[in-house]
Amino acid sequence: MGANGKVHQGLTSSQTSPFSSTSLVIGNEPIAYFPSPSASSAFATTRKHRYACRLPSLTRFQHPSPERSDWSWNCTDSFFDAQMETTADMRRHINLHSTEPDLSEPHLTHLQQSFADNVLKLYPLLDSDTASQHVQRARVTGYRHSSSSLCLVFLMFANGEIAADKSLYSPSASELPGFAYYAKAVAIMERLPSTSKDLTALQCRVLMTTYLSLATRILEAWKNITQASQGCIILLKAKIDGQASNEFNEAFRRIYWYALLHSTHYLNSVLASLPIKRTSIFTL
Amino acid sequence: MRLYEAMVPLPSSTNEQEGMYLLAQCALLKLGAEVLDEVGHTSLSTIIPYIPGVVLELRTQIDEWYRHLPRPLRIELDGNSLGDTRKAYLRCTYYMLTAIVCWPFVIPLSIGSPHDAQTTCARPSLARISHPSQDSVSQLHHQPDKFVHSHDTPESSSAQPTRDIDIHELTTYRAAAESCLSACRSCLMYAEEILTQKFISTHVIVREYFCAAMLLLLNFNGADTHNSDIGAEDRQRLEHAMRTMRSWKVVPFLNQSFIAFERIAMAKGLKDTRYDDGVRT
Repeated sequence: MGANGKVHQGLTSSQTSPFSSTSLVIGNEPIAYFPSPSASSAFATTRKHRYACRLPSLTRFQHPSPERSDWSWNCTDSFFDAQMETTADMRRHINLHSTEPDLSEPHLTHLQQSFADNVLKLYPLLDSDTASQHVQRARVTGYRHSSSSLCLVFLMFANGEIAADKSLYSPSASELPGFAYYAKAVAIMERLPSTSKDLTALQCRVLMTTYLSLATRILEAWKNITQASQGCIILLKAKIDGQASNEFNEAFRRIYWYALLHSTHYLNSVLASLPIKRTSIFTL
Repeated sequence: MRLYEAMVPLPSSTNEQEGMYLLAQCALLKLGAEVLDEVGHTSLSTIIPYIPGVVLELRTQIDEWYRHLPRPLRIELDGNSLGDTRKAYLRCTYYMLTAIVCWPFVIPLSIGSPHDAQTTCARPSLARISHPSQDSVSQLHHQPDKFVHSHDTPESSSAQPTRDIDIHELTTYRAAAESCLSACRSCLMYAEEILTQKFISTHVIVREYFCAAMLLLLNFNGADTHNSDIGAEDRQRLEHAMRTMRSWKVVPFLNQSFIAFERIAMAKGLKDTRYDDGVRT
């Protein structure tokens, strides 16, 4: 909001038209125009902002009283800076192939159990039988046959390991629990088609999001859940549900609703302080 | 994604509790999106013309959600730990939504100047509020019958004895603001059991916790702590919140906001908890 986080909104066209545009201004410079959805909201934006105030968020707060401007803060830039840095750090470590995951059976069984207890119980993206079948297939192929199913298995292990870890935050990717499994999954995912009818690939995107969420890599999590959401929308547009089996439709519904739940959470985090009209959903 | 909701039926589940939790989450998500969309946060002046109606409807919906929770997910609204992350998440988010709905009322009475408070309280539309938004959150669930009758708002308000309209409206504003603060206090108390561990939605709770603490802090007046029990309790709550948030300072992007919080807390006369363990964080 300008140098001190100040945003002024004003109308550029007829104030009485229900479809007039709203100009978003930072300082004195208009940066965007948005159509107002109704006459009432157009009226509302013209009112004098005597109490201009947002709900306090982790990234920004502006005290409504000018005398208390020293209590305001805006750390949006440092939030994005820090998040981009962690994303770059993760990419560096993925490219390095520096660590090999532990594929010993007792350890993997422990991780699978941790995944079921700490992730599937809260977010049953897939049922436990299906999860076990994926793990069984991967075990038979020696965790080598590159496919969306193996990617999903590695993500289950990555999630299981990070969820079982007690530390709240690891600054470096090299110290992130389960990162070796995550890196393997990313490498497989990059070789899969970006859009397909393969629901397992979409499930992988959601599990990547849960891993990144547990690792507090919010920006990267947002990127993945956005891709999962795009995949869902493409399948909806393709109207595949009419020809699909009940199992396919049920799996798709779970992916859609979990993607919706997650995307709302990440939008809250990532766009917490972008000054856009009707972004009140992003301000918490 | 929200545009496609109608095209995608809710999933089913063979596990009863798991399926119920998903449905409860989805309902809370839709409700949360509506609350944040409708109440808006960029400017109170945008909200004033229709806030009574908005508060009335949204508070009804939030409490309907609570009252229709299936038995396995039924949340107790007492101070006990639930011992179930899923329920604890739902309880915390429930209180945060309640706080957000009534949040605009806190600004003119607690943050704005006295002149501003008088101006906003003179709006006649507020005289018609007769709803749970006037009650503290805990009262709502101990008096379920009261809420059913409150739907006939215009009749019940017209049946009230004639009185000075400004005083009535001021009371309503204060009651709504108190409802927000009461929900913030509950949110702070109930978030504790989630913040001590790491799970997928912890970052949502961290944000809710910080927001609730900040709303309470902005309303906190150090002088009140000597005159009222609530003031003294708020002091304890906020000092405890500072200690809780300190453990999250390891996340780099949270550090600055927590420091800002501590700066305001010091200015309001709260104890400097940074030195509690003898180490400056």
